[in-house]
Amino acid sequence: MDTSSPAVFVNAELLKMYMGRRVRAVIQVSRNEGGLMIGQSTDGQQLTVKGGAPQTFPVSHYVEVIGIADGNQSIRAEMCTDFGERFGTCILTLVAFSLILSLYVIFLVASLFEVAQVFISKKT
Amino acid sequence: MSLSQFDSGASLFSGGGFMASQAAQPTDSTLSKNRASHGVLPLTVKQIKDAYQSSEDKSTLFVDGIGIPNVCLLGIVMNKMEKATDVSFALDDGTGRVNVIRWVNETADRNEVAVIQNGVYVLVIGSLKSLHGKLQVTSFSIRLVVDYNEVPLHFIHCIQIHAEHTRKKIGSPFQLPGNSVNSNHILIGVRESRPAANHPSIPTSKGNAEDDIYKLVLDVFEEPESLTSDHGLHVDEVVKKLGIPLNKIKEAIDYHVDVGHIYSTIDDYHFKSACTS
Repeated sequence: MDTSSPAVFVNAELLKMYMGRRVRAVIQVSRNEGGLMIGQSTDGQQLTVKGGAPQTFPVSHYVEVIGIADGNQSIRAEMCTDFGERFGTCILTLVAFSLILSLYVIFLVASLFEVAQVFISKKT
Repeated sequence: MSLSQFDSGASLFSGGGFMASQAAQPTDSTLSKNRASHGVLPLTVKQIKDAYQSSEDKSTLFVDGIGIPNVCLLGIVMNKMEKATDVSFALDDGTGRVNVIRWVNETADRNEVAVIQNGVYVLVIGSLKSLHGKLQVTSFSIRLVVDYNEVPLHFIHCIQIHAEHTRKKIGSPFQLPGNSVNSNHILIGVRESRPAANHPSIPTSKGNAEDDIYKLVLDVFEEPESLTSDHGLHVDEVVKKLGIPLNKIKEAIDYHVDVGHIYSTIDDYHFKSACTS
């Protein structure tokens, strides 16, 4: 059992307190630029991730980065995990959104049906 | 008693309400019948390590004063090794690494471990075993994490369970479960945010004093004598025991009734704890 290298949960503000130490943070990917991954931390600030996984992660996905804090807003990654697009998304928001979307579709279909009826009645 | 409390605490969103009044479900349906009644405790590797180092008898570990039944850990798989009869790996949950071994006897076991690869998040349920002076987890369930909201959820769960046990420990500061509590010796102003810290501190705000009165009142209702009584305790008896003004006691009782810790029995002045242990 080894607890010699824990990874501290950080956001952008806390990152400054753990310079040179192993940290873990979740960022939402904003863009990828030549080996660098730039994203938004959980407290809304920009973080830059160097190294880590050879693959790039899709924009707007949430990625957990575990690595060494080597700058005020920079992490030298050892490991990155794609947490997907729905990480931290409130389930109620999803339900509400899908309800609104379905109501909109029903309204659209009803409108098209009405238009079709008017068109047919004019023809006859 | 305490084990059923673990099961209640292990269920999501149980909070501090109905602690052991519900029949508890094991968190993993693959638990064998032998282990089903023991409960599962979500822990971090650091908690396990601290418990191991602080225990004199390495065969029995205690976290927050509670004996550890089975444990639930969530972390990243490292250094996976497959053998004919078992699969072992190190589980890194961010607070440390612990060795996990999963014995493979049947095809279902093999299928379970086949999806485990280095670098993936897994949820491990198992028991703690000491082997050649080293602690390891003998796992009977390993599941891949698909929804990564489980990662912060697991840590929140660990915090919740720790807070629940620490809150009970404040009521019984030096006792293991089963000993009677003398509420007059309860430490005033102990803060829950520091784990396993029993040194008292002077309350610095009115809010702290109110919380302490609430805890004192709840502890009186959770004394073994109070739990065995059918009608519970009269409000006046609580006032006599604690020596706190009646209006403060009533305020605390109203709060606990709202939250679900206690309920009224034969009339509006008799109350009993919802804890059935």
